[in-house]
This record gives sequence, structure tokens and C-alpha cells, in this order.
Amino acid sequence: MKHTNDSQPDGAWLSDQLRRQAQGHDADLDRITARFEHLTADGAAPSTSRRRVMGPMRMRLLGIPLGIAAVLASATVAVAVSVGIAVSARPHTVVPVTSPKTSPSATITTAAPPTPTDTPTEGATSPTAAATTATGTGTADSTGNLPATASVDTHSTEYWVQENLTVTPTRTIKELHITVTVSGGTSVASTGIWTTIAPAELETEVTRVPGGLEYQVTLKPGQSLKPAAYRFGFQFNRPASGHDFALDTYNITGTASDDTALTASGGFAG
Amino acid sequence: MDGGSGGERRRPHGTDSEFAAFFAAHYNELARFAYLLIGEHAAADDVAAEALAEAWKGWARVSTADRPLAYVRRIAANIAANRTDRVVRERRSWRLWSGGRSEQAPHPDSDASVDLQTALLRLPARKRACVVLRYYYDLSERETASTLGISVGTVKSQSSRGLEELAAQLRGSRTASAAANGGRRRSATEGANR
Repeated sequence: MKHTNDSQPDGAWLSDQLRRQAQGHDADLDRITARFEHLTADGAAPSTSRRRVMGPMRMRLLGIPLGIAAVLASATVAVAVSVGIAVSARPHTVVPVTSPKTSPSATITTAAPPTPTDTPTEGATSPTAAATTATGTGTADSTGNLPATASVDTHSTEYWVQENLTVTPTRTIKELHITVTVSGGTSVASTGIWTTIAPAELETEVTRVPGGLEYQVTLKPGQSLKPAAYRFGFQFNRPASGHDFALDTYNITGTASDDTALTASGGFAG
Repeated sequence: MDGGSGGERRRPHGTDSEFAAFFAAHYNELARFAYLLIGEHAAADDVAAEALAEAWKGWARVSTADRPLAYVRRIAANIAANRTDRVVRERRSWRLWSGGRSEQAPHPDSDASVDLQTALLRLPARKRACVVLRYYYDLSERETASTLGISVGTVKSQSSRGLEELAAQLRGSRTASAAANGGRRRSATEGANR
């Protein structure tokens, strides 16, 4: 299992090489300043309520969660929805189709059954704690016998969108397939998928289709999901000129361990 | 935060002096960090700019964080990861469209001579970020974990595998295929990573 060979580069060697490599880049201050100013031009002043700075953190950095603290806490109690701090106090409720609110802390974790091993970082805690200000864009109704909720993440901007989908099976399921269709033709570009399910248990794929984008998430054969809330974030860049959320839809099919067929479908616009 | 307007040095328009100082102190370092993560000069500067813009938008929070720089590095790592993932995804879906044969890989997998940058870019984003934070910045596992917002265990495994895989690639640059066995096979199991 170990794979040793004589001249294996070690950590010290790598540090040295990386520094050398980094020296090869000298930042272009004008470029950075110009881009910075462009990006900050409209919203100008920093705002405490927008929490835009958390923006990148919801991304699948690596498939990793960053609002961890709050999310973990709430995920452990299997709250169905995208839980914000404000709504996290509902132990073991399986929230059916209707309820929730999107919350900015709907940051999605990859670790399946979350165990709070990690101490919160400064980045994760403070901003997440401020999360309650967000007002969701509403949650769309779902049809089918598999509880699911969908919404547009409140951190979405005029350039970037995350559409949230929470699936809350009430019994163990052994098959799951999710298709999300995003409208917008060639004006949208995927920036990825997040999920609270361990990546190794899933197959994901994003394809460009004539209408826009199609995200596919499939539970790998042999895997199963216990009753809990599972979250997904479907992310894409959109044009500032507009995006018709009403045309974005999801369709879920699955099979419970007792072979009941499960379905859910709906849209993301609330 | 409302524009202490004592402008002595060139500061990004619309920011206050505290942020301007942060900007001045760190833009170059952030751009280099981004360069290691993304491998292109212009894109690296853009990532640094975007990370700084995000930092400014949330400055009230960022500035009071324990380690604002760590926070901004995380933002930069996330942005870089998003960008590289997008490239990979676009390439992948293009391949689907074009019926399986597509070229255009920015980092040809069969290249005979692999340099560090190329090898680095072949790592999945998380692993790459771990490796760079651990070995470029010499951050501890704990610091790396808190910078990226991931667990120490993940940092451990990702950075040691990352090192191993880099080593294999670099060593294998002459004997190309030998490299595939060590690090790669293992990562294939969790390869849904990306």
C-alpha cells in the first residue's frame, strides 16, 4: 500500500518548489484593482446583511461545507429543511413538503452523517450566526410521495445562482435519482453541485442541453439513505440580464427499501 | 467603515483605509496563492481581486474575524476551486457532446514531462488547496483545516495523498504510467470527488 521509491520528493522539497513556483507570479496591481473596483462598484459599501462574503463558502470548495457549525448542529437533528439558526430548533421533525425558508446557512456539507468533529472556524461561525436576516425567496411546492423542498438560495446574485433541493425520505431508500433542469439555454453555465451526501456514494453529472443545463444525481448501486434531510445545491452562472427561475425544475425518482416507488417533482421558484 | 477619507496612497476606489491597508498588504500574496491553485497568471489576479471584493463586501465581519487573512484565503481557494471545476466540467460535458473525443485538455494527461504546476493542477481542488496551504504556507494541519473549513482528518489525508500523488507524477514524468498506481488508485475510490 505504501508506494515508496528512492527519489520520492518529500514535504521540504515540495515547500521549496512551491515557493519557487509562486515567485513566478507577480500580481498585476492595476488589473486587480480594476477588477476589484468593477466588482464592488454597484453594491459599493460593505453591508452586514448581505453576507455576500459567505458567497464562496457555499460553494463546493472541494465539496466541503463551510457553514459547518450551524449546519452540522441542525443536520444532526434531521431537521428537514434548509435550516437556519432561526429554524433549527425542531428536533426530529420530518418536515413535509410545505414549510421551509431558505436560509443562508444552507451551506451544504459533504460528510454524510455529520459528526461535529471539527471545531468551528472563525470563518464559519461568526458569519453563519448572522444568518438569520435572510429572507428566503420562498419555497416551491412539490408533488409526489417523497418529501422534498426546493428554493433559490438567498445568496444567489445576479450572476450566480444556487438552487437548493432538500429531500427528506421518511424511510430508508435504496435508489435515488434526481434530475434538475435549469433554463436559460447557453446563457447559463454550471458551477457545480453540492450535497450533504458523501461524494463517494453518488454519481453526478452536468450536461448542457438545448434548454440550458441538466444536473443528474444518482445514488450509486448498493448505497442507501436513512430517513434524514439530504441537501443538494445546484449552482450555475447566469446572465445579469435575467433568469427565469420559474422554468427551473426538478424531478426525483427513488425506491424505498420496501420497494415502494417514490417520486417528487416541482420547481424552484417560490 | 464609512470611508475615512484620508487618501494618501492609491487605494481601491470606495474602500476605507483599514481595508486599503489590508488590500495593499495582501494582494500579491493572495495572487500567488491563487496562481498555485489555478496555474494562470491573469486568472490568478482575477481570483485575488474577486476574493478581495468579497472580503470588502463582508468587511464588517471579515475584519473582526480572528484571522481575516485566513478567511480571505478561504474565499480565494473557493473561487479558484470553482473556476477549475468549471473548466473540468465544461470539458467533460463537451466531451459528451462531441461523442467522446475531445482534445482541448489544458493539462494533457499523457504529457511526457510533467512539471510541478501541471502535476498540481491534476489534483482535485481540495487536495490541491490542502497541499498548497500545508507546504507553501507551512500551515499546520489545524490551521489548514480552519482556513478551509474542513476537518483536520481530511487535511491529513488530503495533503499526504496529495504529496504522494505529486511525487508519483513527477517521478513518473519519465516513466509515465508507473505514476498511475500509487496515489491514483487510491483516490479513485473517492474519486467521485470530481
